[in-house]
Parts: sequence; structure tokens; C-alpha cells
Amino acid sequence: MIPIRYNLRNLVVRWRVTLLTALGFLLVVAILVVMLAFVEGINELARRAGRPDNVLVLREGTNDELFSDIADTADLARVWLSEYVATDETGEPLYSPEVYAIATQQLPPDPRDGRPRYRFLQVRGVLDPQRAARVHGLGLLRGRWFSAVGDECVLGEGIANLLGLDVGSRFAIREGLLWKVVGILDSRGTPFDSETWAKREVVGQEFGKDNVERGQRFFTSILIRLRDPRWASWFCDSLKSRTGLEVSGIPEPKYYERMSEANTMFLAAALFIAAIMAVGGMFGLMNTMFAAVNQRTKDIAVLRILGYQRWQILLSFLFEALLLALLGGLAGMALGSLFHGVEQKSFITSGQGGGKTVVFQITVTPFVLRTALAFTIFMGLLGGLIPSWVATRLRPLAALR
Amino acid sequence: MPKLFMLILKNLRRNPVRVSLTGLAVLVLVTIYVLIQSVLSFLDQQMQEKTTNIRLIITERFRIPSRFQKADFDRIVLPGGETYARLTQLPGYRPEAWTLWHFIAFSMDPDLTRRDPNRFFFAIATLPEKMPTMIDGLEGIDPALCDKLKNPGVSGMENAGLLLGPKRLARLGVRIGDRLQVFSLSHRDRAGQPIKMDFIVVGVLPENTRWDEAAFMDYEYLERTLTDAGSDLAGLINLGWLTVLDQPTAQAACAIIESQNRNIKCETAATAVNRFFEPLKDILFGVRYILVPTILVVMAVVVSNAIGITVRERTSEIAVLKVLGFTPLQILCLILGEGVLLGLVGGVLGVALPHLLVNYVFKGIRLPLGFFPVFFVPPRAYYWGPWIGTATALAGSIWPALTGCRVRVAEIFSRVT
Repeated sequence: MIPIRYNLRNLVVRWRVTLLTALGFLLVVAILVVMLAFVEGINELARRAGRPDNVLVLREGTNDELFSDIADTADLARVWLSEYVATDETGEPLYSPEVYAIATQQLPPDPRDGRPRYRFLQVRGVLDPQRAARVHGLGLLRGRWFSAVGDECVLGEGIANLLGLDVGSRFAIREGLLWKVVGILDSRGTPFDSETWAKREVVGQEFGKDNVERGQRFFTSILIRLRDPRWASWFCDSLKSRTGLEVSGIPEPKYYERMSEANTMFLAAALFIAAIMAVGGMFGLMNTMFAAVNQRTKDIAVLRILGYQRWQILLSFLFEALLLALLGGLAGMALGSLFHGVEQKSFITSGQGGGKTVVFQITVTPFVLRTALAFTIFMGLLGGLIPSWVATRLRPLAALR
Repeated sequence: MPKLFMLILKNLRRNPVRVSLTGLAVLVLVTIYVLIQSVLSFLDQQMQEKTTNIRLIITERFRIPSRFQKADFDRIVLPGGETYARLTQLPGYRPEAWTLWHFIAFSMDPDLTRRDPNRFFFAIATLPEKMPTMIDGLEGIDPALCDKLKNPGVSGMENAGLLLGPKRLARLGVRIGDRLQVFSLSHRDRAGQPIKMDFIVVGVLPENTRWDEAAFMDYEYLERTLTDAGSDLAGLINLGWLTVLDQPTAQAACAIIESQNRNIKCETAATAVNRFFEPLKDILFGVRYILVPTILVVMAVVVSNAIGITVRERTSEIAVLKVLGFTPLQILCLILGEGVLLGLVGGVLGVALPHLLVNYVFKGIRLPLGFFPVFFVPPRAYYWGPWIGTATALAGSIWPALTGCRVRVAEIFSRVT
């Protein structure tokens, strides 16, 4: 075999070309790592969201809490009064009927034109905050749960940081409705990080679909804890026939998995962009390798005369191309990995126009690094193949002349 | 100058492999730049306040999805109300430029638990006569086609026309003239059952618009059906739209509308779109300030590498040119010219390719972001592509060109044996 030192020396001697080619690969691979890690971050959030023993009940035909409305009737208890539903220490079933809504909060007027400004806030109305938090698997970071009296709320940690609010703060969620923050949810890395929790009655009447005049109350969802996660699918499938109500159930992890399905679109876009950029980088590598072959025609001729076979020449140049790609690719992976842990805000949606704002971290997983490495090797080999093949076709005597 | 240009062309022809590879690299990188920029520039356009013909959006003030009484909207747009009287006094107010929307989701499958995307659609119930003037992207749609929503030409089916986007028509597997029975996913009757509606497919919306998955129906038909069914949503609308002449009128109109009714809010469409895109700001920032510059740097690096190799291979030649009387500036132009020409050609092709493929073959970039399901490469991309290709190639060629024009004749010839 042709000594590896020969290729290494060539890369060192032509250091400027080596660096420029590697720089191209570095940037392409770094971008690929960041984009994949972004998608992985949302996937990770969706994977962690929802307990396998929880079932989310929505109105039949809807797949987003925002568009669901389940009338609060006496019959509704059939949903949670079941031997399959887990109970707490006192024997009470673990369930939480809730109202999820998006409120439009009015902000102080824009100083430029004096016009009011607005922002969206995700609000969840719960009957019993402690029970709801228990079913959701959430706790308090600080403060206390809101009481039955007064306009109190607890905030997800993310939204509290964003709004600059903490325990004891007050804010107007809408005109004439001032809420006092009494607690901060320990919600990092969950879909509830951007939510404000308050009393069901208030949320239902102010932001939900309750009709006070007609005496109608609606929940958007009911979260139910089962005694055994293996029953989740059966519980959901048989919910309508067992209860006779126009409702449907979905295992909670599956709900969030569906919500993050829009991410496949981001993943496809990320891979498409990275692939196209890589093709550009690969053309650069081909240029470099063609120049290397041109410059070393005499070397190749001598190697052939010394008895090296065509396939050995091919392997030698392919190896050099691969080294070049790996040099840039590994540096790119290192650069991209620096973004690990950076916090981002995005949106997960069922595709119906609803959805949730989520705060998540860019996550460089082994999958991301493996994909980036495979990508680097593939592009390196592809970029080096034609120039290496051209090198093997040189006729030694003609080249020496 | 023409001689210099001919020399540049001759030089490029001497190494067709390298020129082709570099040109292809520029082409693919400009292509991806154009695709990304097409999406970003469209969003920018939607989020930027216009100076004339401003769309105002009227929604319920406190919650999403917005729902408010049509009667409240009537007070704004129909003569007789105080709000209308005050609005019509504004110099830039156009009393006829308004419409309303009511969203409704339908399934063609009576079993609503099955969510087959090919049997499901969202419809916008609106005023057919306002469609040609009040819907962005559907300007110029044939008013006769819109009128078919009211008069589908089938007796007993008055107002039951349905206009579908071409993609939605294909997904549902229906044809113009077909009669559909659909079941509402979002609206219920007084007994809590899905509302059944019958439609006649009366036409297809124009191609290459963001409405190619949409469906439009007559608001009058929806309202009549909801009222008959005793639905809670009868008499409600989701959005109201106005168009006013200029920004001062827009601000004044919003102030009047909000002061008359504290339960609704009025803002420019650009402001509303901005707020909806707030959660995506991080992503858009990353794309704009990390991804796009990286693409440009990769392009510059590839060109720089190729031109650098060319210069190193031709140092003797450059020395000869200097001996023949070429000034360093002319040599600089010669080398820069090669890079610029490559960038220009790659840039032009890098726009033409995505423009033809995206707009005519794939019928848009399908990247559902908020209310915008599909994006197209705009004609103005023919300015960006060549410009960005040329500028980046020029930037990438500067260093090799400076190296080339600094070649010392004596040093080069001392090496020649």
C-alpha cells in the first residue's frame, strides 16, 4: 500500500488549499449539526412530555385542546369513574378537567403611535391545582398553589422569566382582570413552561367557551391517570362506547408526539438545506482533489512504475479526500456542538391552526453526531471518487514525459 | 477592455472541469439561498407595515380563536350605526372595502374519530362578492366564479357552492360539479351532534397561490344552517376585514372601532401576523443571521479555493504577462473577472433553476408556517441571485487575485530551468 505519510505530507505542503477545503466542510457540517440538534431538541421535549399512564380526553373529532369543548354535564363523571383510573391516598380518582385557552393580553400602548399592543398568553384553568399538577406530574419551584378565593395564578418558569414576573407580582391578563402570581411551576423542559394556570371558572368565563347567560360550562380536556399504562390504548378506544359521550381519548405521550409531527417538516427542510450545501462543499473538494492529481501526475507515474496497482492509487487519493473531509467535518461537529443547550422558543401544532409555544434546548445527541459523521464520510468519498479514478487512468510514460 | 474580457473567457475555457465544478457549486448554493430568501422575503413583506391600501383585521379582543357577534361587525360596516358614521368621516376610509370570515372544519367521513387528511378540509365562509377585492392573493379572481358560491346552478342548493384550491380538490378526490355531504368537526347542533351540510363543488381557485389547500363557501349558507341547527356559533364570526387608504386612516379607524366596542380589537394585518410569528422569531433569526451568512461564506470559500488553485498553477504565465506589459491592476482584473463571471453565470442559473422547478413543477415550497402553507420564488429573485453570486464570488476572488498580481517576475523566472 502507498504509505499514509505520503497523503499527510501532501495535505501539509498544500496547507492553504487544505484549510480552505476543510473550512467549506466545517461550515456545512456545523450548520447540519445545529439544524439537526434543533429538531432533536423539540423531539426530546415531545418525548419527555406526557406520562404513558395518562390519557387526554377531548371532544370527538378534535385533536387539539384549543379547539375541543366538552360540555360539563352530570354524565361526564362516566369518563373518570372507572376501575381503570388510578386513585389517590383518599381513594379519589386521579383526573383533571381543564380549560386550555390562548388569551390576548393587552400591553401598554406603543409610544410611537399610542396604539395598544397585544401578546398571546397560554392559560390553563384547573379545578384543583394540586390535583392537576399531580396528574400532570408537575411540582412547584417556589411559592404556593392558588387558593379558591382571589384572582391568583401560577406561572410556568419559562413564561415567568419572559415576562419578568415572580411570586408576589401582579399583572393584568386583560382589562379589569388583575392576577397575582403566587407560585412558579417547576416546568423546565415540559410543554407547560409557557403556561399560566388559574382557576377553571375564571379561565372558562373570560377566555374559554362558557356561556354564563345560558348556564353552559365547557372543559377543553380531561386528563386521566390510569392504574396501568398498558391499558391506555384500550381505555381510549373504548371510551366512547363505555361512556356514551361524544368524546375521544388519546394517550398523553401520543398527543404531544402528534403535536410535534410538524417537526418532520423542519427535519426535512434541515436535511435538504444541508444536502444542497454539502453538494456545494463537495464540488469544492473535487476541485481540490483534481488539482492535487494534476499537480502530482509525475508522482503517480513513478508510483505506477514502482509497481503500485491502479486500485492502490485510487485508495490513496480517496483516503486523502476522506482525510480532508474529516478534518473539516470533525471541526464542524465540534463547532456545532457548542450550540448544545442553547434555549430556543418554537411552536408545536396539531396542524389545525392551534398549537403551543414551547421553550426547549438545542440538543446535540449521539444521533446528530452519527448523522453528521456519516454525512462527512459520504461527501468526502463522493467528492474524492472521480478525481481518484482520473488518477488511476494516467499512463505512466506519458505522464513522465 | 474587450480584449481583457476575451482573455478572461479564454482562461475559463482552459480548465473546463474546474470551471464547471466551481460554477455548479455557486449554482447550488445560490439556489438554496434563493429558496430561503423567497420564504424570508415573503414573511417580511407580510410583517412590514404598508403605506397604502392597508388591510385592517378585526378580532375578538381577549382570546384565540377569536369569535364575536356579527352584529358588532355590522355596526362598523353597515350604514346606520354610530361607528359607521364616524368611520366614513375619515378621508381615507373606503366604506365598501370590507368582508368577514367564519372558519369551519369539515370531514367527508361521518366517523369523526378518523382523521384522514384526504377526507378533511377547513372552509372559510365569506361574502362571495367581496372575494375578488378583499383576499390577498386572490386579486383578479373571476367574479362569476365567486358568484357560483351563491348560485351553484342546482335547484334546491342555493348558496351551497364550494370553491376548492387545486391541491385540496386533488386530495379530496372530487371534481367540479360533484355533490358532497360533509360533517362539521368544529360546529355542533343544539343536541351536540355534528352539523351535516351539502355542497356542490363549483370551481377551483387559481394555481400558484397560498390558497391551493383552501376552501371557500358562502357565509349566508353557513349562517342559515347554524341558525336552523340551533348552534351556539350562529351569529358569530371569527374575523372582520377592512381596507383603508393609508396609515393615518388605519390608526384613526382602529381607535374609533375599539373605543366603540371594548370586546373587539382592530389592528393592521401586519401587526397581527407579527404577533402570530412571535414564537418563530428565534428560528427566523437563526435562518437569517446564521444559516444565510454561512451559505455565502461557503460559496466564497469554494470560489476562493478554485481561483487560488488557478493562480498558483499560472504563476509563470502571470510573470510572462507582466513582462509583456500587463500592469498589476490588469492582472488583478483578469483574475477577479474569472471569479465574477463564474459567480454571475452561477447566480443567474441558481435563480432560474429554483424558479422554474418550484413555481411550475412542484407548485411551491410546502413549508406550512402559520397561515402560509406554501411559498413561491418571486420574480424579484432574478435580482438577488446574480447579485449575490457575483458579490460572493468577487469577495472570494480578492485574496487569490491580490496574490496573483503580486507575483514577482524575477522570482518566477529564477525557478525556470
